Amino acid sequence: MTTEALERTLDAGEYVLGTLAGDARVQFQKTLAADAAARAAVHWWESRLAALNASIQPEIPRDIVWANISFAAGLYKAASSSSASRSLRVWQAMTSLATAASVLLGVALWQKTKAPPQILVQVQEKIVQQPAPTQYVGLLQVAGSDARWLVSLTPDRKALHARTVGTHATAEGKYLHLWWLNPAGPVSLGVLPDSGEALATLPAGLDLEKGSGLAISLEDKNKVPTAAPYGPVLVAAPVMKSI
Amino acid sequence: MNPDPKHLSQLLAATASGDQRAFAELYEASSSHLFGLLMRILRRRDWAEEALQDCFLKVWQKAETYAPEKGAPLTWLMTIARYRALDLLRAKRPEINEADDEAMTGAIESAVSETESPQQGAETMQGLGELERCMKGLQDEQKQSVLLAYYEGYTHQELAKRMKAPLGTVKSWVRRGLQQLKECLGA
Repeated sequence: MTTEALERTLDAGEYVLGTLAGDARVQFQKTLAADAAARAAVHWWESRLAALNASIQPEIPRDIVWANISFAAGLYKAASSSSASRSLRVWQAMTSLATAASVLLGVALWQKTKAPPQILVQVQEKIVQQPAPTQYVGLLQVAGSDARWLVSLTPDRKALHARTVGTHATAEGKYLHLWWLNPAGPVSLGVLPDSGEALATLPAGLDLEKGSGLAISLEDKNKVPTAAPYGPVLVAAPVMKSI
Repeated sequence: MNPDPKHLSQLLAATASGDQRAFAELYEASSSHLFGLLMRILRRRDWAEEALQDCFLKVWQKAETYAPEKGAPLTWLMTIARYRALDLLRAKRPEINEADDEAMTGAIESAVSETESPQQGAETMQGLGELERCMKGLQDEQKQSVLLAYYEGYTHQELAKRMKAPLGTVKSWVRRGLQQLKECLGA
């Protein structure tokens, strides 16, 4: 093996290991795009070092992960209201739908896999266990729009995360307002983006166990509601609580 | 037990043609393996979940790029997951707080101990047997560097800090370890 070939092989090994960082990693990725020999070297290391994966214990992810994937991949349509003019009374009607979300999401059941074989050398595991926070996830789609929203509420962190798939064409001078459906009345969660993502803080004292879902209303930019929507409710949907 | 490679290949092929049910089945069959790997490297559930989502979205969009000559399907999936984990680490590791840092240091200080020989198995076990034999030929520091980089996703700088060794020395350990592995494992 020539010196050049050896260096390429070792660079590939370091790339697969992950020791290359910053500019070195970016530079090697550029090399990969243009150099078939470098790609072959990377593949060689990937296949050889993959044997180390045998020592890793499988771990079942939370169901919410599949829910997020299937939503983002567009595997099913989010629950949506066909009416663009539902009144505020929809809050009460929607309270019964919360449990239906799990059906929509088609959550798979899992079987635990057996432990993998021992490995030759094992780095002692000290995983920093993060307790899985409870999440409530709602999927919303406005009739006639290609856009869909995945809204995650994490009460432990008082966090709201909204992710849009696609772009919603909101009329000039209007905006989308997100609401939590509380039996005692809607709770304002803030402005929903037409595209991209948004993060917000959940209102203090919001008890998600007592609510039933999310809704979007179409509001006038000059007349922002606080206690209840002024404009039409475009969609309301239940949320699924993560296990 | 690892999923049947032939079945996974079929699921990947069906996924590539847009078969949603096959994609769901692929997730069911393989996600625990990928998530175990992601938890091992990322050590945080929220990051591992984010990475797992990214991986399967990529698989959904790019399943047609899998070809049997690229290796066993689970290996291919695990490789996607591992690179995603490395990308996330590069972007997020500075966020690691002091408590995490102590745990990481502890992991390294107590790292690397010999364990039982691998049990018999199919292709993976054969590869593991070869790798074990070749790993045994490495100096301790070389072996530790390679394994910590693989399992923890450390860069050279991080390895140097954790192993309390000069950067140049660590780079040399990794490089020489890889060279010896290459010579031992052959073409």
